[in-house]
Amino acid sequence: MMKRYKDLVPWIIYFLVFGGMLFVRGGGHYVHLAMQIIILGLFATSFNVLFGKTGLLSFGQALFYGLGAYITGMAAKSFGPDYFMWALLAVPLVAIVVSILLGALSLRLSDVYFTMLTLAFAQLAWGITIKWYGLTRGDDGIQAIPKPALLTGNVNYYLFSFLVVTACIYFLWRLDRSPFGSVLEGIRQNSLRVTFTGMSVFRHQLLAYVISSSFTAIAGGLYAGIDGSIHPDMFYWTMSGSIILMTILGGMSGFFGPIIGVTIFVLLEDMVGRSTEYWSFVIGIIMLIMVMIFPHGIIGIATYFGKFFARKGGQVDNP
Amino acid sequence: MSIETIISQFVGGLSVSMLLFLVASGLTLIFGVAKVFNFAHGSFYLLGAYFSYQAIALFNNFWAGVIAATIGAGLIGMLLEICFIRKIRGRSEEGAFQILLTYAFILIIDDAVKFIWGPEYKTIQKPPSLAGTLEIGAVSLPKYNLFIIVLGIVIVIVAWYILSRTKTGKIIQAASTDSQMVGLLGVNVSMVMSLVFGVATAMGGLAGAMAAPLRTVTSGSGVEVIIESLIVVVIGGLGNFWGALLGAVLIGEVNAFGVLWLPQWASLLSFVVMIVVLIFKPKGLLSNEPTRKKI
Amino acid sequence: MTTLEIKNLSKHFGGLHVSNDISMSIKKGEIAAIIGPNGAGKTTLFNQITGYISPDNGKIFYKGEEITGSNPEKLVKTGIVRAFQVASLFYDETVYNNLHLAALSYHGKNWNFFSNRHASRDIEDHCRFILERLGLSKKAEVKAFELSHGDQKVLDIAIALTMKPTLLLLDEPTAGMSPDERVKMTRLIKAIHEEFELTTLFVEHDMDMVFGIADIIRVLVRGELIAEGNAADIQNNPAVIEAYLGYEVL
Repeated sequence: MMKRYKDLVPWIIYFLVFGGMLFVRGGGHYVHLAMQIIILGLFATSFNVLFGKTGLLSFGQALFYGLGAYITGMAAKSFGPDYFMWALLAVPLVAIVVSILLGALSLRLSDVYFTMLTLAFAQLAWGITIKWYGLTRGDDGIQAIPKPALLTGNVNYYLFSFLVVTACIYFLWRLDRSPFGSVLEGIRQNSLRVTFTGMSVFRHQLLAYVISSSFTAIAGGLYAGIDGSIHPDMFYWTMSGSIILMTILGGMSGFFGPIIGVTIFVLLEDMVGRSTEYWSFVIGIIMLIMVMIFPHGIIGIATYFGKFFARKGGQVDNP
Repeated sequence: MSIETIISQFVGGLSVSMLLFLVASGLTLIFGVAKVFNFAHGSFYLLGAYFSYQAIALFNNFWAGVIAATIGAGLIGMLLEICFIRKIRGRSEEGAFQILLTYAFILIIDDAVKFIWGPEYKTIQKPPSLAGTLEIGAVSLPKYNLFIIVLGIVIVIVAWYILSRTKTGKIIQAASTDSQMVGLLGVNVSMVMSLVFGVATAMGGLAGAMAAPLRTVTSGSGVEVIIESLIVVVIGGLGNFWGALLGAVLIGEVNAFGVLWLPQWASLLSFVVMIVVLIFKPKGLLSNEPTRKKI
Repeated sequence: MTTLEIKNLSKHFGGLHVSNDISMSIKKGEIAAIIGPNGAGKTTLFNQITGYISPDNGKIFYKGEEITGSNPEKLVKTGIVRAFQVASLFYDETVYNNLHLAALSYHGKNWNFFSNRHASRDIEDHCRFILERLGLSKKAEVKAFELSHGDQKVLDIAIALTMKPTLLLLDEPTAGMSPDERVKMTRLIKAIHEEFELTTLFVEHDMDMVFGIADIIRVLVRGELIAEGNAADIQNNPAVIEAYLGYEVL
């Protein structure tokens, strides 16, 4: 019974924080920030299915983020606001097809080779988006993407994104605790043993890749609706890099770590990033500190202090 | 296409190849010996270019710039290895953390350079002795490009000599296959690794200084170079010295001739080449590693 | 009835013949041992039987069907399961969870990505049963990396048993153990062999163990089988004494 409540705590905090955003006074700016947080939160949580869970460092998940955004953006721009929703539904389907293809190619490689191949695919997608002006309007990006009337306005769109993201995150949370999640953890720790308990490492990795990429694409699709403006840089490798950083910042070993990381990162960027030109210097230093001293992120720090105080209180860690 | 165009494109491509090789061979050396994937290797190229700019501003001599770039980048490389990279050795999921750590270096060095030298483009002139062209029959070739090619060939020969004919080279090669064993034989492995890191980053710095007169010097160029060099080493086979050379020549020439053939899409051709290579030869062209790990 | 049959198996790495024209067969219910000096190609032979590497030449039959070139994961599902020389565990997980993952695979739940991983009673019972039989019940909640070396080797075998093998391959089950632990391990292997009705093939350096429990012993030297027989045959075989025992004494 105790365990059940423990599972609920992060969800209660989740609903309090992101639901509460709707009631912040004069919160236009904060609702806008909250939209970014929740959408990037979905991106980071999906990314962590690969990284924290399965042990696969993809440096190219921006490809799916951009893909989702461009499908949604181009469809709504060319066919009208009603197609915004249809495009959003088509996004995961297209992402499934693309990720099966790219996943099957890149998962044949391991470690650094996998990381670099995913990076190469994403950079290729970025290059194509920049150069194929006729289709994507190149470096200009796509502006003024129309949305259906119901989704217009910050509050309405936030509510919509919140519902979609929450459904997706719930699905990923179930996956995290599922037997399949157990296999992914096994692959991260000892893929050889997974093979010799009768499971194909490649196929499980591929499914993880497809799921991760599809949810990333949904996040990208939602992003196209925030300001109605998208740019090829959504495909760029620094986008993938930032998501990795946010994931590490929050903690890759806990399910909610990436969302915590995104929240802190976006708020920091809002406060610090606007007052300095040297924002990447700041995030470089944060990344350096996290990797060197706190590889388990904020969740890791919290658990450490949690255990520390539990011990002081005379409690025992292991039942 | 006339034979003259082909020759001049080829020579142009080859000089780009040699610069790429300087960066890529360092990257591959670090990976081969220290098992570190130095994502920030392009940042040493960047540092080289700026160090060179600074030294030329002070001494008004191109070669002073080249020397400052080589030594400066090498020292900073060694420093970062000793202070950071060495410290995370042996951690679980080390590979991922190395990539992330060196990614942090990229972000920091990029902005530090902007902070110190300002965001505007810098230009460096070719040394007067290498300005102008050399006429061979109907083909006129820039002297500077020819010089880079010669320099590249000299470095290839020296590196080959050191790696295969000297004691130091043998220790380096042994350290790359079995560092524990070499440690037992009384060789200071950490020092070998720092040294390799220093030499490799120095080569990156040298490439940055040599490339500066051909390309403009800006804080974004480190990132462009690392992606190109990544492609080069992955094509050739990570950790393989000759693979880096093959990859560099391939990519340099693909770019040189790609521009004639598909001007708009040329910059994407390297990615296509890499993807094709990896699909058919997942560990790179010059790799004969077994595809499965030993139990 | 023959459980495993190997015909003219050959494998070389570069110029080195690690398996040189090996033929042998293992009957159902047998405990078969392979001995040989280090570098004789024992682990490579295991890797070929379990499908981890493919032989250059020759064929492998399991229960009369050819399995040469099959995937390791498929072979595990048909009952060919191995344990490792260096215990291959999920070191950050508890002992229970180590078995749990194997049990998920055995019960075909590994693709389920929506239910709670601990929901199934069958799987729990399955794991508890194996834990109890191998004497690991009390350590169920201990992390694998905290176990003693001996217990890690037992856990390695427990994971293999969770897959309900027909043919169990053990790669040096007593490697690195104290004399006490060796005796226990030998008893354990004998006991599970009988209780789970296994056919067991193992590689070992501990001669007391080999001569104590093996029904049939084969000697592998430089990739070649040079002798085959029961304990007495092997102990008196001059070729073995020369090639193997002499080597060990030196």
